[in-house]
Amino acid sequence: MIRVESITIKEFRGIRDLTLDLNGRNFAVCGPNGTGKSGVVDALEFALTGNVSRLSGEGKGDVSLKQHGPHVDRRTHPDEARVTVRITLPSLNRTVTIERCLKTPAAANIAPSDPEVLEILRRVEAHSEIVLSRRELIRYVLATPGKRAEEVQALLRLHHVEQIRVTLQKIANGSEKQLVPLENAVAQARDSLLRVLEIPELTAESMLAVVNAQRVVLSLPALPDLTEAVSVKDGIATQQPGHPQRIPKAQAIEAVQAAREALAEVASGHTITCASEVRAALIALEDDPVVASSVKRDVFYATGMEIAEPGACPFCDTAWDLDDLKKHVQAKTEHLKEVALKRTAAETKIAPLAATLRKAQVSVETLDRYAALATPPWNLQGLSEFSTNCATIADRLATLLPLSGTTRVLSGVSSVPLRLHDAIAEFEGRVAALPDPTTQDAARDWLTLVQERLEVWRDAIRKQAAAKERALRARQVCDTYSTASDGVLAGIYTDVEKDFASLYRLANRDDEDKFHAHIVPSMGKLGFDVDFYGRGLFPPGAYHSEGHQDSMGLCLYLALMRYLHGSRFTFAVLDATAAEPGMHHRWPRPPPQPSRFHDCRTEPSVRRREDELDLRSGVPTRAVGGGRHRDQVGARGRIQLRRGATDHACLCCGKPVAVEPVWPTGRRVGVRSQVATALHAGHEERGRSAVLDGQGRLSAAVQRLAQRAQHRMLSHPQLVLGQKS
Amino acid sequence: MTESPAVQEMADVPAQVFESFLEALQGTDVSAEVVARLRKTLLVDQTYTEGALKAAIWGEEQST
Repeated sequence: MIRVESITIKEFRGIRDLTLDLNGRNFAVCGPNGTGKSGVVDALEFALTGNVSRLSGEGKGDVSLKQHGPHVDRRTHPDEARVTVRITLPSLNRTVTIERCLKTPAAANIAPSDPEVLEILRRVEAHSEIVLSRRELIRYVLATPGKRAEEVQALLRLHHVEQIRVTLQKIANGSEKQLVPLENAVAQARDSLLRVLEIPELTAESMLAVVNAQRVVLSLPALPDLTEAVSVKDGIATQQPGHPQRIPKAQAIEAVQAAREALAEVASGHTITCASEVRAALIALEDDPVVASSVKRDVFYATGMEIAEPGACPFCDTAWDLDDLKKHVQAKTEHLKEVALKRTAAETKIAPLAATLRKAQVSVETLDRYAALATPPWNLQGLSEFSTNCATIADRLATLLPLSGTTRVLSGVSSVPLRLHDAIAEFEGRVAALPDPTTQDAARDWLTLVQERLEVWRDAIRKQAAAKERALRARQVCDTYSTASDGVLAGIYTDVEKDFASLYRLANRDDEDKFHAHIVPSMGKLGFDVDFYGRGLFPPGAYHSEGHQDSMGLCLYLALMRYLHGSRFTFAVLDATAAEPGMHHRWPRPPPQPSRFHDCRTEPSVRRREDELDLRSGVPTRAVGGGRHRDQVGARGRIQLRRGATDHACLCCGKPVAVEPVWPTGRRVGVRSQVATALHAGHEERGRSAVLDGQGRLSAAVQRLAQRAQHRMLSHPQLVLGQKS
Repeated sequence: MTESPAVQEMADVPAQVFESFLEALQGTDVSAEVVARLRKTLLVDQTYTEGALKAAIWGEEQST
């Protein structure tokens, strides 16, 4: 992919002015804490991607690249913070210079800027995972299976795969959920039809028998069958325009009975109990502030991600990375699983309650419709009001949100107003007073009503069948996708698992040559168990030492990257990955190269003592350090100072160190400046161990501050703080 | 822009998953039209929203 030839860093992070000639070879940066090793890593990342991941993204709080990228002493001058990197592109056999300034991080000066060069750099920029720190690497190992799956999915660019799996699941579940009310509607329509037909079972034969009996009364031919194209009213003269429609007396009486039954069901103890349970379930959701807000946000997230577009927020125009936003929102939606379970439980209780209300609504509406046929129409108080109220409550129950509104409407769900009973009684009385229809009129009314209800039933069946087909298809697509993606991912993880174990065995061949591991993907999770010295498979954090865990993180990362990039994985910048001071097992030798990574260059930032710096790979490796590291540096290369290499020069400024007063007590200067000043003094003393504050002016408080300070010089002598105080 | 050889060898895991899925779907009784729509949505348009997937599964007129 790329090889770094040299890098020049100015006023960036903890570095004032530094040029390193890497010459396209492996390069290790070593030194005590705070000497700027990570600054070199940050600078490389910045030059290549325009970003410094440790200063951006989730969980970084108030830290930002623009504010905290420049050297602390030049933090108000981002225009001075620059990184220039010279790279070669082996595939193009070209050398390219990239220069970035913190003032305009997105605008890199690239020379030459051929389309082929830009394409490769664009790809590098899109793969910020080439720069990782120990903290990031260890997440692959120690995270929970769900979190690990997220991390690995992000690395393998799998977030769309998972997103689609979740969305298909949602579509399938949603389409199956829609079947429930449709099944209820079919059952209601069937019962309604049976009631008017007055037959026990809805078969074609029994229907034809009663229908044809009425048609005979009207001297109409018998129907041979009851296909969808056939109407039981075929042959009946259509209603003359302007001719008032009569109230079908028999059907109206039957409708009264149906309405009373429906209202009795509404007011029944069963409905009261059901409403009480639903109310309790909703209040439980409402009482939990997290859950309640999550329920509301569920819809918001879903709608928001539907309309979210690349670029910027449509509300405030703040720029966003859509992929990052989706990942962020996806993490939030994970928290909604508990809510979804509670919500599903509530919805299960709600369904029969809503069905009861719909039934009451339809039955009372029927009475109202018949009342409107009278001349003049009967104005019966309470009919339309009640049916409207039933419809409102049923709609609210189906919508569920907002919870407060749903809970409120439930309070009156089982009450049937007295005046409604009065209105029904009045309706019944008026109907009874109607003259009995002739036999022909009764047959005509009956066939008309049968046809109406038959159409309602057929329509309900059609809708149910269509919904079933949709649900079946959605489920089939979802299941097929899950099976296919699980298969592909299992294959990938098997490859990665083998490669990981192989790399780990190589890195720890002294004591773990029989090591093996097991990576298990399942439903958005990624289990990871490792062998512990032949005693079985355990989570990586169970028994292995931290050093071994670090090594696992690095090996897993390398295996994943090798899967992702194949032979094109040739460049990685890894921070704090080699070894802790005094520890031998984090990375006992350089990354497993060259045998495993022939062309891969790594830029590990090393934390170890000079006497442990054992870069014995045979691959030309350079180290930058100072003080006690000087011999090592001498053996492996030279410290590259911008203005000439000299033990007396400061890498902060590149100038010979001047004599400065030590610690002007009471002076309000930044900690980093104080340390820099102290280091200048240390340079001047030229001791291999600069004992600061030899005159006793380094207070304990300043010591603590200095120990926390980030800014030190790469070439300073070993720093021993405050030994004399 | 044509990708350079430097980037062509990169494993496109989502594309592998999508291809495997569509191939498996062809072996079911899901219609070829649905498979074609899903192929366009996932591999050509690369739109992964719920609306786009519904439209691919059920067709535009049934996607709501």
